[in-house]
Amino acid sequence: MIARLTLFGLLCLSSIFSAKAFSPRLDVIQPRGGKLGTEVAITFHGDRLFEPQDILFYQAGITFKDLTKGKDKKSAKATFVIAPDATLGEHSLRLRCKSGLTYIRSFWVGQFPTVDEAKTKDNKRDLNDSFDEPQDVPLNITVHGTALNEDADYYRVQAKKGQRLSVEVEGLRLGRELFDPSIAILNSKRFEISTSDDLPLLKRDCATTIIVPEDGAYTILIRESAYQGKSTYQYRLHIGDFPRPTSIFPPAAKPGENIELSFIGDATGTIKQQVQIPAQDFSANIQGEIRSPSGIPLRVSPLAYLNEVEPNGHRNEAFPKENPPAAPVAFQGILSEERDVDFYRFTAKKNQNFRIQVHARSLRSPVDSFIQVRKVKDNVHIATNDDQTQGTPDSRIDFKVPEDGEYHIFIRDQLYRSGPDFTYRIEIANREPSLSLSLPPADRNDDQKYKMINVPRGNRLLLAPNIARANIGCDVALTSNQLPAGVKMEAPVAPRNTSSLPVLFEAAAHSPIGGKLFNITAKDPKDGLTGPFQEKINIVSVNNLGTFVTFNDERLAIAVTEEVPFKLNLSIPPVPLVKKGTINLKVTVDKAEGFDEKIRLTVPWKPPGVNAPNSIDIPKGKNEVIVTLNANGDAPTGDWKVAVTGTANAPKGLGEIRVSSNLHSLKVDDPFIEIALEMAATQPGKNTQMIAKIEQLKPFKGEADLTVHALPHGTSSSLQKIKSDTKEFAIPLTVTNEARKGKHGSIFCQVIIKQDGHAIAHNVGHGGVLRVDPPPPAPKKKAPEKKEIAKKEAPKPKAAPKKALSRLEQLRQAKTNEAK
Amino acid sequence: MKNPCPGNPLASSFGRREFLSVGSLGALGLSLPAFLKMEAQAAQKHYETRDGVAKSVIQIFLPGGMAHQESWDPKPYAPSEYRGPYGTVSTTIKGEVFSEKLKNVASVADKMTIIRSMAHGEAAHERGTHNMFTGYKPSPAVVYPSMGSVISHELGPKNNLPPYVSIPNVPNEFANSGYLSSAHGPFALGSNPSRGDFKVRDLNMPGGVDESRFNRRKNLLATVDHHFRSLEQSDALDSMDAFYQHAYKLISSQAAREAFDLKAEPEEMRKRYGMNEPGQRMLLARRLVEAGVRFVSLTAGGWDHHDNIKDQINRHLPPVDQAIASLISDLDERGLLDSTLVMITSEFGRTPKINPTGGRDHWPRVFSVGLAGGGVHRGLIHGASDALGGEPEVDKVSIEDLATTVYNQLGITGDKELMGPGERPLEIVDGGRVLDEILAKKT
Repeated sequence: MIARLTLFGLLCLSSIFSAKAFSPRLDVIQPRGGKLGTEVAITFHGDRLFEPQDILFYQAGITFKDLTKGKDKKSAKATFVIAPDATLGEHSLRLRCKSGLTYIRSFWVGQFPTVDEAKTKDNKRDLNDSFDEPQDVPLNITVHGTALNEDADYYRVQAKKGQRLSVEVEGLRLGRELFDPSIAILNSKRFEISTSDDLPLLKRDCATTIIVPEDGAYTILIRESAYQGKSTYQYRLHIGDFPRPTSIFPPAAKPGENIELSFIGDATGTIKQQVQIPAQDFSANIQGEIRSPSGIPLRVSPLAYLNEVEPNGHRNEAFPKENPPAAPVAFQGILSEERDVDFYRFTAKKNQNFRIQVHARSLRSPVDSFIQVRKVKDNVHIATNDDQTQGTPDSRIDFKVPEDGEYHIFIRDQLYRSGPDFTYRIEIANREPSLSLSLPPADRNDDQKYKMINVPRGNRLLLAPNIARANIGCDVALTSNQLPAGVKMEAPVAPRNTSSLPVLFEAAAHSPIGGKLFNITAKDPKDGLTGPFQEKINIVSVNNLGTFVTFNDERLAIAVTEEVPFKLNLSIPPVPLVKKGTINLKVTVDKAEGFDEKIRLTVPWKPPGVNAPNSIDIPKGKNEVIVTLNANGDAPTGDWKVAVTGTANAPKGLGEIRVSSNLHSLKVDDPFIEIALEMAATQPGKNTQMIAKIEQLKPFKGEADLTVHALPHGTSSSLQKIKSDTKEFAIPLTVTNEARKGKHGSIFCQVIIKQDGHAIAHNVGHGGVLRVDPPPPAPKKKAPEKKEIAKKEAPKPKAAPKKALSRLEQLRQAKTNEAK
Repeated sequence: MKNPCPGNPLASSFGRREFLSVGSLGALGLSLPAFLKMEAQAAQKHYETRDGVAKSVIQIFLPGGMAHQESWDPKPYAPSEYRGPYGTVSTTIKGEVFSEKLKNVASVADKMTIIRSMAHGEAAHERGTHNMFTGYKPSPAVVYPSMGSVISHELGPKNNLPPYVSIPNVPNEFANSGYLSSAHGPFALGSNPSRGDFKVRDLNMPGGVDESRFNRRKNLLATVDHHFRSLEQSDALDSMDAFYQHAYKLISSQAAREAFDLKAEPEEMRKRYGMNEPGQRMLLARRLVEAGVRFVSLTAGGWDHHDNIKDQINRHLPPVDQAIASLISDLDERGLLDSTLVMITSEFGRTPKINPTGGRDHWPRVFSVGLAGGGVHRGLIHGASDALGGEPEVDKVSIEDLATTVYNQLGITGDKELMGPGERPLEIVDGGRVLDEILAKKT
C-alpha cells in the first residue's frame, strides 16, 4: 500500500527533476501606460519569466496579443490593444507563466498620446533639466519621465490667453515606491503661476489647473518634492486643456438615480452634468471630448439623503428646519463658509442602534471631519468623534438611541478649514451585519507575498484567510461556483469562535495548465449572509506611516501550474491532542529523482489555542520529519483539520516552490488528568519527594508514564508509573550535594497515556516548586547529639512511605517532634 | 531640621542674617549667579576616584535588541511558540544552558556572570539604547553623557591613548559626551577593522608632511587659536584644544599608534577571533585595552529580528559567539580579564512568543546581560526570568544597578555629582546599588 501511494505520489510529480523555473517574478511593466484606442508594445521586467502564457486583467478595456518571452529570463513581451472606451486610469494585471502567476502590477490608460522624457543618446542624462532648455511639448500630451535625485524636469507648452491649462501627475499611484511628486506652472519670467504638491483627491500625487493670463510659453516643472528622486520614481505627467475639478457634489447618490452632479474646483468654475448613477461605487468623470485624467470617487448607497441648505451654522438653524427626517438617513453638504459648522436634525426611536459614519476623506474630500451628536431636548451632549475610521481622518460614532426624540448632529473641519470643495456625507445607518475574507500579510515589507494562488498539477496549496465579521457572530462556509478545471477546494466550516480558516486547493494530476479570476464566497450556513473572499493588497505602504496605494477586488487569481518536484503527506495519530498536551505530526515528502533541497515546513493554519513551531526543516537527504503541535489550557475542544506547507528553493536560483500537504483531521479534547504539584523543600545531598495530587478527569487503561521536568541542577527523578485511579502520588527526587540552592519554580510533569499504542502527551502540574535550602550551620561542640539526631532522622524515611507528607504536614510533624 | 534637597542651591540651610550678608556682598560685587554657582559646587556630592579592580571596560553592544531566548536565557521547557527554533547547549557552569547558537561562549561561561533579570521597561530602540549607554532614562531636559564619556571624565587618558574609543564609529547619539565637555566624546576609528585596507583615520601624518613641517603647522595653528580664543569663549574651543592635544600625543607616540594596528596581530590570532566584523572589532578592542584605553565601545551584528528569527540568529550569532568566546579566553590567557570588564549588552530583549512572521518583537520587561572580568564572579548566573522569559522572577536588576556596579568596579562612585547644564549637579547614576552578589572582588 505504502509503495503504491509513493508511486502515485511520484506520478504526480515531474518524475525526473530537471532544472525548471518556479515562482515567476514581475517587477514592472514598461512603458507605464498608453493611449485609448491604440496598440502599445509592452515589456514585462522581472525574473524567471519563462514560458509566459496569459495576462489576467482585473479591469475591462485592454486585450493583448503576441505574448512571448524576452531575450532572457528577465523579460517578456506583448502588445496591448487598448479599447477606445477603456476606463481611464489604472488597469491592474498579473502575468501568468507556465510556472504560475506573478504579483499584481499596473498599466495606465490615458486619453492623450505619450512622449518620453528627452534624454541623451546614451540614456545617461536628461535633456530637460533647466528652465532655459526645457523640453517642448504640445498641449494634451502625457509625458513618461523619471524624477531622479536632485532632478527637476521642465516641459514648455504654448498657450493662449483665457485658455485652460491643467497638469496632473500619476507618480505615487503608479505603485512602485513612496514617490511624492511636486509640480509648478511657471510663466516665461520663471514666476510660479500655480503649484501643487499634495492634493487630497490624489493623495501625494498632484494636479493644478489655471486660466492662462496671457499668450505665450508656460513651463511645467516636475520634481520629487524633496529632490530625493531615484530611477524607480517614474511619472506620467498629463499636460493639456482638460478639466481638473477636485470634488463633486453630491458626493453620494442612490443607485439608478439620474441626478445633476457639480464638479467643483476646475479653473473655469463649477461644471454641472446630468449623470445616471450605476449600481455600485464608481469614479465620476466629466463627460466630453476631453475628460480629466482621473475621476472622483462617488459613493452609491440606497440610503435616503438630504442635501444641506444654508444657513445651518447654529443648532437653532439646524437643517431641515421643519419635519426632521427619521433615521436611518444621510446628510450631505459642503463646509463652504469660513469656519463653517453645519447642523442637522433627525428623529430616532429608543434602542435603535446606528452607526454614524462620515464619508469625506474616504471620498477624497479635503475635510478632516469632527462631529457631535446632541439630544435636542435640553441640548444634552451624547457623543463626539474626530478620527475613528481606519486609514482616514473620517469620524464615526456607534450610537444607541437613549430615548425617543429629536437629535442634532453637527460637523466641522477639525481645524475649521473650509472651501468650495469641502464636501462630506454623514450616514446615520443601521448597523448591518457583514462578512468578508482576505489573506493576511506574509511579510510586513512585502504585502503581495504568498497572495498568488498557484496550485501545481497533482499537488496542493493551503490558504489561511482571515475572517472579518461585523455585527454578527456566525459560522463561515466557503463556496465557489467555478474553479480552474481539475481543481477542487476543501474548506471545513469555520465555527464562530475562529477568526481564520484553512482552505485547501488541490489540482488533479492532469488538470490543464491555466488560470483566471474567480469569485469565492463566504457564507453563514445558518442565515445565508454572504460576503466576498477579497483580494486586498497594500501596494505601497510604509510601516508606521501607513498605506498609500491599495488594491481591492472581489476576485482571486487562481492558476494551475506545471508539476513541481516534491509532494508533502501529513499523517496524525488517531488520538486527540489534549489541552495542555502535545501531539506529533508526521510529515513525509515524495521527491522527484534529482531533487533534494531543504524544505521548510510551516503550519499555516492552527485551531484556536493550538500552536506549532514557526518552521521546521526537512534537511537535504531526509524524507520525513516530526512536527509537534501543542494545545494550551483554553483551547476549545473540537474536530479540526490541519495541513503543513513546505517551501523549497529550486537549485541555481530558479525560484521558490511552495506546496501543502493534505488536510488531516485533528481532534482537540479535554485532558485525562490534571496534576497539582505541592512545594517540596530539601537541602543539598538530601533526597526528598514531591507530592502530586492527581485529578482524574477521564479514565484511561493501563499505566501512564510520568516524568518530571525543569528540575534544577543536581536534582533528578526517574520515570514513574501511575494508574487511572491514582489520587495522590509521591514523586521521589534524588538530590545530590551539587543541587543548586534556591527556590526553583516552573517544574512540571509530563504524563504519557497510551491509547491503542499511540501516545497522548499531557504537560501538567505547571508551577511546581522545589526549594533547596542551604544546610543549617552545624551546632558547636555537640557532636554526639548530632549523631543522635542523625540516627533519629535516619529511620523516619523508612517509616514514611505509608503516607506521603505534604510540606505543611512535614513542618507540623517537625514542630511536634521539636515539642517532644 | 530641614532636609536640603541636593542640587537645589536655594535649599541650602542658611539663616536670615547670613542671607543679608550675602546680599550685601552681592551689592559689593559678587553677583547672585556667581554665588549660586559657588553654592552649587559646594553642595555637589563629591567622591574621590578610587583605584578600581577593573582598569578598562569593553562594551560589546548588540544593536536592535537581541532575543534573550535565543542567547543567554533559553526556555527549553516552554511550548514551541515561546521556546523558539533553537535548542540548548550545556555551559561550563554546572546545570546551566545557553542557546545552542552560543556554543563557544558556553565553553567560557565559567569565566562569566550572566544577569538574566535585567529590565528597564523602554520598548523603543532609541530609548532602550539611551538606557543602556547612559544608565538613565531619556529626558527632554538633559542630554546625559554615555558611560564611556563619564569614565573619560573621571579617569582621563592613559599612555597617550584616548580614554574612550568606539569601533568603528560612534554607534548612536547616546554614545556621546552629553552635558560633559565634548572633549570626553568617543574617539571613532572611522574605518572597519574587518576591512583589508583598515587604517584608523587621522592617525598618521598627512602624505608629504614630515615631523618638522608638522610642528611648524602646529605652531601656526596655535597662533591662530590663541587669537581666536581671545575673542571667543566656548566649550567647543576647549574641546577642540583637547582633541588637538590628544591627536598630537597619538601621532607622536609610536606605541599608541601601534595599538590601533591590527596587522601587528599574528594571522592565527586574527582567525581565532574570526575574520569578520565582530571578530576583528573585538580583537582590536583587546589590543586597545591592553595598550591602556579605558573604555572601548563596539557594536556587532543587527538584532532587530521581527521576522524569521531562526535564519537571522543563524546568520548573526555564530561570528559574535566565536568572537566573544575568543575575547574572553584571550584576555584571560593574557592575565587581563581580572582588570578588564567585558559587558555584552543590547537595547532590550524580545517578546516571549514568536510572532506570526516567525520573529520576536521588542520586550524590555526582562532581558539578559553578559559580563566577564573586572571583578565579577566567574561562573555565575544572577537572577532569572520566568518560565516563558516574560518577567524577572528573582533578583530583578535595573539599569541603574548595572551602571553603578560598572562604575564601582572602575573606582567611580555612582552617587558622585557632575555639573550638568544650568549649573545643576547631576549624579553619575540616579539611584542604583552596587550588585555585591555578582562581585567576586569589589573595588
